[in-house]
Amino acid sequence: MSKFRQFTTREVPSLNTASLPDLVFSTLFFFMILTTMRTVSLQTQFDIPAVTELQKLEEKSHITYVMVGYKPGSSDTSGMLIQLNSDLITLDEIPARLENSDSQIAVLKIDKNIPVGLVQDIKQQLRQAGILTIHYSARKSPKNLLNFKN
Amino acid sequence: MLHRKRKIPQINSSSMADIAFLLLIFFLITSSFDSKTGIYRKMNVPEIENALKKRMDIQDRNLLVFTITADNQILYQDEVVSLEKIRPLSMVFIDNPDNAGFLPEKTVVAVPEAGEVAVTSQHVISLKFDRKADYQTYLSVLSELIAAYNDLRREAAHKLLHRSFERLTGEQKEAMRTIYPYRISETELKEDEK
Repeated sequence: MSKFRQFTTREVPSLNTASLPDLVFSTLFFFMILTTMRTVSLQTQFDIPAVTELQKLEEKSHITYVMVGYKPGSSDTSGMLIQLNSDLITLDEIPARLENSDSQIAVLKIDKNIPVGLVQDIKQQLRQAGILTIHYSARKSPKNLLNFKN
Repeated sequence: MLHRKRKIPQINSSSMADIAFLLLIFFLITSSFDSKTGIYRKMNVPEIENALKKRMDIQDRNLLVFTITADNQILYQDEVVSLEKIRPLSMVFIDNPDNAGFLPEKTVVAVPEAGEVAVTSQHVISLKFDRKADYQTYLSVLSELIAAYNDLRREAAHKLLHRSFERLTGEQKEAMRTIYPYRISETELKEDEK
């Protein structure tokens, strides 16, 4: 009998967590590499268009951001807001605001429902301010499609 | 002999996971997936453009016009075309493979790395748009036009240098760009053109 009694004191083996830090670190590095820090805070809400042919933004600094969208948090699409870097501005203010900037490129993040006329006006203003290269932000479109409204 | 060989205590690494978790959560919260993709465009200096506008005497065979109307339709020769048609149409126009008389004239140019190539150096694709058209429509058309050029460059890379465009050297890529340079002109529709 005593031979069998030995088995009753069997313990549940503890889980070895020695490799847990490694797992967490690998996820950490994944996020650190994949994410890019946003340099300006958003004050507009926009949905950028989706297109088929995309080029990656190569510049890392000296970028002027222009955002055109609607008031954040509301579905009201009547008033358009123009944001230059971190401030909300009006169209005519652009050259004055860029007077002392040394940026060579403007990144335009514009809502897909904004009329093109406004985009052209912004481009003209940027040109007056001496910025000649433009990068229109866009997403990858899944297919070669366009949602016509008619 | 009381002192036996002293053992070096092991570093307790059980809190390592907590530290890593803290870092992970910090990055998860502070980072935002900011998209870096888009379309590049270069603009001319205002004075140069004004000087160029004065001599708008481009021959008909060298000009391809697409028009975007206020209700987001794309017109080619006053007829509605679908977005998918733009790329093949522009590709034939830019390349003029059969040297047709109604397509842009070709001139032989010596291109470094690629030798002598017949190039349609005079062609212009004109994109006209109504102010009220959507930005999405405008950018989709622009993207298709750029895609037409890029497709031609890729084809030329295979044909002339027997390599994919991505694997070319800097000079060779530049040569492909010289053979098919972007020649897209964007203009707003004036009141009398509507």
